[in-house]
Amino acid sequence: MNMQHVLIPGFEKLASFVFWYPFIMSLFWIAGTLIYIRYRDRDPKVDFSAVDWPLVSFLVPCYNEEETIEETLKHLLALDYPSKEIILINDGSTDGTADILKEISRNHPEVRVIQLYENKGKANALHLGAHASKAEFLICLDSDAILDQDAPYYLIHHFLHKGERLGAVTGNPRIRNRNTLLSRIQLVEYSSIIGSIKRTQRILGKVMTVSGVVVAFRKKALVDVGLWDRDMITEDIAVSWKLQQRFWDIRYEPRALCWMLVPETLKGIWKQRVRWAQGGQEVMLRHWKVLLKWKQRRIWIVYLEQWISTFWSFAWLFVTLMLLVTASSPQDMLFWFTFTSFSLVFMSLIQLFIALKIDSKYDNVKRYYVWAAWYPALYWIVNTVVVISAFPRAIRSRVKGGYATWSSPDRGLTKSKS
Amino acid sequence: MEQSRPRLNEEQIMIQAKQPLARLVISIIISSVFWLYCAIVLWFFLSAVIGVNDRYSGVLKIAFKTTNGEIRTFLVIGLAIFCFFFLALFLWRFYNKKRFGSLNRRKEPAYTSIKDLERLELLSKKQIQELQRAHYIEFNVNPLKHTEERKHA
Repeated sequence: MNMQHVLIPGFEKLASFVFWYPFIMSLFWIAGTLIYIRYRDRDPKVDFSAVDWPLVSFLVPCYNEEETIEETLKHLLALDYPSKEIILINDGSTDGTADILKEISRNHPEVRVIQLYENKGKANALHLGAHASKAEFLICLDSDAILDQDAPYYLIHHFLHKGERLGAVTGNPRIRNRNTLLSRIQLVEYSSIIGSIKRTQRILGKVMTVSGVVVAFRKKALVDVGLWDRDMITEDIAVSWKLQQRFWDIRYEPRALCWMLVPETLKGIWKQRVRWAQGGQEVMLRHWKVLLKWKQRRIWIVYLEQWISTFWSFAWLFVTLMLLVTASSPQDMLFWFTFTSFSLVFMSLIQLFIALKIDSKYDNVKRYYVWAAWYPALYWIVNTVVVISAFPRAIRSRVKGGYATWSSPDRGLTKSKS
Repeated sequence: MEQSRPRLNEEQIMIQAKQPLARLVISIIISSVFWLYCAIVLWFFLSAVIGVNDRYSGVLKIAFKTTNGEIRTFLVIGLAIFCFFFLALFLWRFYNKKRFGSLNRRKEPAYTSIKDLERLELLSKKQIQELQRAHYIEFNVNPLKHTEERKHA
């Protein structure tokens, strides 16, 4: 009998869980993705000229965005969506953003600007934008993101076509900076792992979150749930849960492309991912009562999957450390060369390739297959450690309360743009 | 018909910058090592499926104390789990479409009024109207009621 089994009763079961959980979930995401492709990804084309498009407010909260906001605005102004207003909201920036917005306001009468000189977080800025907006439909966009010409049409069309229960439509974020290894690995991750989870959740009918980088909301639904939570670090996850608990639907529209920047340093990724993980855990801690309500049963699977994934991260760390401590030879420490590791890498490769193939329909990502090996071999460990690191922060944040403010992670090579 | 419309040119959108050569070479070398590892994994399972026991995959099977038959059984279990999920999700989608697909379960909601916004108790009616009228507006202090204040209001 192995040493770990003697020292810790149930160790074998825990180790089995560490293996079987990601293996089974991988099969689940693959199955969901294939069903989505078979039945959902065949949405009829939209004749843009045959629709009476309603007024849309584009809300762009800005915190220290002097490098990116002008480019974002340039592309927003170039959108040919027929009825739009653009509202830029400065959230107490400490760089030159306030001056740039003042200048924009002078030069572009079609752009409205709200200058708040206190930094109170993205959710607070969106609150101001929602109050200022004259439209019923809001498209919230990150200030470093560029919306595709067709994206507003695809997003808003959902509300007009059998969308009476629809609270939000989330778009398809694509990565603009693809020059470094880290951004390429993230590109593979977004296209495959994140993409397949989103597609499966769409089939389930409940999603973990909208993509805060580009999402369209019905204002009535937002008001119904009290707008965004200003005390949550990830307002997009929090509002998704509030909407779904009030039975507002959320849809995913992969044709609504939005080009964004991702961090290109390990520190930047770490900061961003810890915030995401913390945000998810904060929401799970806040909304635990969904498990007590039969009416909320459709969201249980998403809720439980989040908790089990969090538990899995800790279990993986524990099992790995135990195996390292009790290893009797250096060969025992070569975790990459075990049957369980091989099986998980095998599943991960299948999932990556199916999802990448599907995703290349929207953006030519096939050439980035070459970087796909990083995910199953190493990169997934970053995400696991991030979840572990975020957990105490989430608990601390729930106890402490107050406004949730944050700054954007590094945007890599924005300055060297051609 | 969907119109043919000017799309964003990828050249315009993508951030173009050259990576330092040394970094590129290192990342290619490490990627190659990872691909080699992935290739070993793929061959390990493929060789079991086709019943081959060459010296490379054979060593691994001995080290993992497993046989081609056991690996095949494992893959069949994986396939069965996949089929179960596929069928479950297919039936779930089918049920939802049949049960709810044709229903309008909610009336088309009316547009949000100033009164609706007022009910949130974050801003006064005057403030909301002022915000909606303004082309450019400045606030030194956050005009929205504090998140804690609101909780206890």
